Amino acid sequence: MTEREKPDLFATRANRLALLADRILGDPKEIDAAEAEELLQSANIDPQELKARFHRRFDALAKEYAAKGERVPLLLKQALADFRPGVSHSRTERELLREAQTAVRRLLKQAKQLPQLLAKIPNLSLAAAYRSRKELSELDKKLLDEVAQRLESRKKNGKRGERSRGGA
Amino acid sequence: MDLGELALRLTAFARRTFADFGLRGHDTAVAGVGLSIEDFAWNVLEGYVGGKLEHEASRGDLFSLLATALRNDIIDSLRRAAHVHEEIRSSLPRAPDSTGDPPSLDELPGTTIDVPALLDEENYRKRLWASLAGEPELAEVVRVILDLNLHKPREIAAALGISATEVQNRKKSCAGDLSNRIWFKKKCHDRA
Repeated sequence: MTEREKPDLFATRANRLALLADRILGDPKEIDAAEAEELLQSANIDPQELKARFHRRFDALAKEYAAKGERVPLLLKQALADFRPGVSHSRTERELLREAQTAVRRLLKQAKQLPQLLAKIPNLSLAAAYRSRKELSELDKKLLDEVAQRLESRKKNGKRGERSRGGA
Repeated sequence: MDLGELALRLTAFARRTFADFGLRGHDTAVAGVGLSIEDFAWNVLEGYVGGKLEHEASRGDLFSLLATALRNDIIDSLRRAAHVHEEIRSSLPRAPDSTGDPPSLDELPGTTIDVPALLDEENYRKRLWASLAGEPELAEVVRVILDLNLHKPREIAAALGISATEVQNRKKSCAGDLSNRIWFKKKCHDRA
């Protein structure tokens, strides 16, 4: 047997044993959150302490990126949020929290873009504020009369509609 | 995907793999490599968040990809441990005044791993059957899995003439700790 073949034989034996264990114990992906906690606790590993230790490692890793002047990868940011101690254990709550954070972030981004968007609109006219005036101009009176007429006709139409529905 | 839950599942799988290969305890490090269960899980997580381990949906689910990478890392470290065990250690005891030489094979503590024995499938099967003594219902399920090469609970249930739920119950009764029992003779009900 050559030196090159040796490691392959080693990996083959190890993989065969791993597959045998999988057949008996089940596919690894079948390990759900509850079984994971049980397995960890039976090995004296506290899941919450483990998450806290991982959080410290992710934090140190993010600082390494920052020290090198590199952008912190998105998944690392997500990991920092998901592992933060004190974060709710409930999956639904965490997902809702993440959705809310994303929505707020998007809103803030849009709000920051508002001045630039407004600057693009030429001759922006704003509605007259009636309350701040002591006397109404002729134009304001005309506008108000038109609104009153429209409301009156809508009211009449509404009553007519009710009567016709009542008759049918 | 919640990375916190993913990390717990991965570490649990690392723990199971350690037990599959006869490595005991969470604070155990693979001899000659010095990595613990937590270190293996961390290495895979670090690779994933840093972009070294890329997940493509077409290659299956994320957990399976990371679990495979983790198991390969453990196997690789066992290979290195075996190499350290065979190549570096002398079979002759050190000179009494020696300070720099590594300890000989006979001088190593009892926790040193014998990798070829751990990877011996026959050895594993013998230990498996020994660990199932006194649990005939679970032994029946394992026998069908191994002898008839059946995997799905429905198929196993049909072979045994029981329901698929009963198969799951029997497997779940000790599934998580069975690998621990095989090597360390720890009974299911010893867990607490």
